[in-house]
Amino acid sequence: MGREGKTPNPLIREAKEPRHDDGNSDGKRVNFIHWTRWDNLMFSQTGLPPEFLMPLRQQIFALAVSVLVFIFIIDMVRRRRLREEYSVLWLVTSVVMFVLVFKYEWLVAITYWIGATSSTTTLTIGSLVFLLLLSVQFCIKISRLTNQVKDLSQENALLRKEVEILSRRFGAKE
Amino acid sequence: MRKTLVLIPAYNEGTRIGQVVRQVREIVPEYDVLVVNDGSRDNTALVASAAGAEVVSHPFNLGYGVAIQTGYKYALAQAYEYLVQMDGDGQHDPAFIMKLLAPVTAGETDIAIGSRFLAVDSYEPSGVRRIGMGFFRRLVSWLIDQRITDSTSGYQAINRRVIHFFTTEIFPCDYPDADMLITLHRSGFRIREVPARMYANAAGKSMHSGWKPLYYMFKMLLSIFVTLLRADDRNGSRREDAEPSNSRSKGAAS
Repeated sequence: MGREGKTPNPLIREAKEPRHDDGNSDGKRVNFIHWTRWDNLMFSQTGLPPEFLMPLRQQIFALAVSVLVFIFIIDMVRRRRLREEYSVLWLVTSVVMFVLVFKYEWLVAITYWIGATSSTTTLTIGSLVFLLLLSVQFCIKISRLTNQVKDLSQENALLRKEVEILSRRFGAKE
Repeated sequence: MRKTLVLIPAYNEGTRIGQVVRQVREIVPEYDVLVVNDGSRDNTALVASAAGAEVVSHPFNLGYGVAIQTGYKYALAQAYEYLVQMDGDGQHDPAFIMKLLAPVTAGETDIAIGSRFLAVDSYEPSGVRRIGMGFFRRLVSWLIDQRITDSTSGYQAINRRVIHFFTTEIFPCDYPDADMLITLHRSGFRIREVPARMYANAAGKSMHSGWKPLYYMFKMLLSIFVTLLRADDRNGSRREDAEPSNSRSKGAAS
């Protein structure tokens, strides 16, 4: 991994000269990887051979999941079953996931930056971070609601006491 | 004469609410004034009460939208026919209350919105806020096919039908601005703008303060989008038979 700020991604630099063997130290040629049209297309866009990339099926699945989540959350807000403030994280995450799978070179760049070995790992780590942020959001909200319930309960108790005192006074006059 | 309520939501406005209430009572002494104290930490409630307003206090801060909905529920419970809503920070000139109410009491419109951009010598925000307001103003105007110059104005006059409508779950308690206008339009209510003078906030911030501008933009766009998707509002129902979102529809205080 380069230490200078402008060191290019070694993965990309290597892939400019695609090899048909894995460069084993004994020089033996290993299994030849048959490149499909999709592999060639992705290589032309990213400069990476297929073994470094997310398989096509995974990409389609990731795109489908992000679109379905987006639509589902919008529908929940439309039906007033989900408040807008809780939809922010879901919508932003689904849009980011969609963009990263579509703009695959960005996902590759992030994969390199975080030191992951494959793009799928990056998305998995992203999902974990999303769940973490969601948990934090809920914890913050629950903390606030707990305080509010406490205050409401106390106010309710004090109001009941006031009503009791007023009832005694009113009852005593009669 | 039909009962009219002047609703003033207030949060930590102890230094200004007294003057606002007194000005309103000088201009329209025959109207009742209600201050909804939204969990203020200062003496807002005491000052408002001393100035002659009825005060309803939230136990803690719930936000501008919830505060004004509390006022609507109070107005519904107390059988008010008309309601004028204004901010408690002195931004809205009380001298325009009668002009705002005139088209509503005449039956020409269901809601009259005071627009600072139609008035002379009115304060107009600058910078990012102005750009944001301009964007939502154009968007709302296009969607409801009616020119709206001030989509974020909290200076409004409404009749009883709108009061009832706003006490239901339909009311967007979180930043009720442009999406509220679209909801009203799609539910068949008439909307009109009236020139109203507004002043710059002396302290530099208000209940509509842009301390969460990014969330406001997101929420407003999302809310407008889902409002357009809702089939029930598209049918033009006025929800006159809808129950308010609290358990009691009247008799809250008698």
